[in-house]
Amino acid sequence: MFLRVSNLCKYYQKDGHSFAAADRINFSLAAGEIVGLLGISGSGKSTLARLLTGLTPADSGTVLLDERPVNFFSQSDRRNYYRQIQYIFQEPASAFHPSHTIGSAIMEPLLHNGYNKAQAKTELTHLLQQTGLDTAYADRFIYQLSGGEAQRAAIARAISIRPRLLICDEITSALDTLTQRQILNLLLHLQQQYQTTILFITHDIALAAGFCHRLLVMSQGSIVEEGLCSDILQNPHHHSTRQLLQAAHELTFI
Amino acid sequence: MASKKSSYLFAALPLLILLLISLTGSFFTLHDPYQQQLQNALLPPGCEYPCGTDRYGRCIFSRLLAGAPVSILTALLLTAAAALSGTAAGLYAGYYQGSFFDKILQQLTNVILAFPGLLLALAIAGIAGSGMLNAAAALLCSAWAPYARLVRRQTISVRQAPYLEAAKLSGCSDTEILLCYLLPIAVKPALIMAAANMGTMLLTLSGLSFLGLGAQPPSAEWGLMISSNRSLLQTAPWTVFAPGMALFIAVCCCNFSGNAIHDLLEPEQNNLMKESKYV
Repeated sequence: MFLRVSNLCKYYQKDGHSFAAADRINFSLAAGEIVGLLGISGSGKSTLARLLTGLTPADSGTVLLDERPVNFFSQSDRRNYYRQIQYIFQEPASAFHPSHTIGSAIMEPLLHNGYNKAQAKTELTHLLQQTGLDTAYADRFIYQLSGGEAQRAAIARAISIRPRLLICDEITSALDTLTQRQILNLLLHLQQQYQTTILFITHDIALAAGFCHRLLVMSQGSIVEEGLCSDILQNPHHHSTRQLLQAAHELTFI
Repeated sequence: MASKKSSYLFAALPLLILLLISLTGSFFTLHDPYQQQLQNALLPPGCEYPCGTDRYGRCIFSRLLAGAPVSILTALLLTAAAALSGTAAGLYAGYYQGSFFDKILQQLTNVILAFPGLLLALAIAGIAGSGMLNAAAALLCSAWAPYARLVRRQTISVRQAPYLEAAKLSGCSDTEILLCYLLPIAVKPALIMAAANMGTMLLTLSGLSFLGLGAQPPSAEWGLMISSNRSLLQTAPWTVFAPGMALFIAVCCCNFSGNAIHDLLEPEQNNLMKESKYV
């Protein structure tokens, strides 16, 4: 297990009451596996992803990377951690600076991780080709890209420094089914090529079942069910999982 | 692109002319601006003395040129200093919202902005004593606060933008995020505010000199010139009108440039204003 989460908690105040967005979360990720994080909207999936990346500080609990606790106190700690863990945002258009080119955004992690400009430019061409984008996209701005292209650019930036864990936060939810499939194939290809672990956050149980090895189901800030895809699909224990499954069945009209 | 460049040049032209006059004006003086020639006292405007002479026989035109750096350059530098310090403070406080520095800055700006700027400057200059440096410092004490508040608000509105979080994940340090991502966003509103404030700063600085808290005799500062000649308003009006007119033109130039820079940098808002039925 290269990443282990132990008793991770995050509380928010709402109308004078405290509610748990993440309540004593415990799970582990093994190298090279694809794990789906499922749950309805507001169940705490994105909060958990942000806690894992340190973008939102946890109230208590620990994230252990190779059994060593992660902290985000110093810049070097954060930089070391982000060499191993990358996050792909739900809306790629908002994750790129509107006045920076796609090329400069993709090269940024490379330049912060020991590449010189010439090396970064060569790597940029390789990354764009790898994610199915034309090299001319390097000089474009995010608003000139379609949703699928923007997501590919976001993937190119995230994989540029070969992270060990890729957290994908509902990255296909705003895409059409054809583009969804292309993006998932791309992720799968990259996962096989680099043995990257993927934490795939989604509310679409059908999508997760077809893509992930293992599932974690969240409800009201807690992980309520965990297991292999086949086990959970055949024998769901928690009512949230059953609800998600039932909704997926009802929506399958074809 | 060329038309955008020429628009910027057009907007900045009055300001550039003012700057040129204040930097090179002292080379074009017709007479020694500080040389007293009592036999030529209070001569009306003519060929030899285009703006007349004051009660000590000094050429008012030469004094206006010699006083330009004191009045204009100080006001422009002061505006720049206020914009820079306010932007830096606002940027830092906005990025580290809720920090000790942010709390202190908020209280400080609340206090400073509770007083009219001139009143606060008068109080500070009154305590510190008269002199151009003290007057400039007194004005700076209150002038940075609106910039700090504006930039802080601007920074807070974008500090949690996903592209900043993505930059963090890319390995950018806080300093890099402040300088490469947030500063360019904050510069525009600060520049618009500075452009609009230049004229006011020039007037306030001259106002302090007029009240005796700024430049001291025999300086050729324009506010001081109006003040020292105001008793001659009825007998030798040119002694007051000439520096008054110079001040008026300089403030008009600043305001014209300020408005033009504002319209150039904020075209969207300008278009909205034009389309609004309430305007």
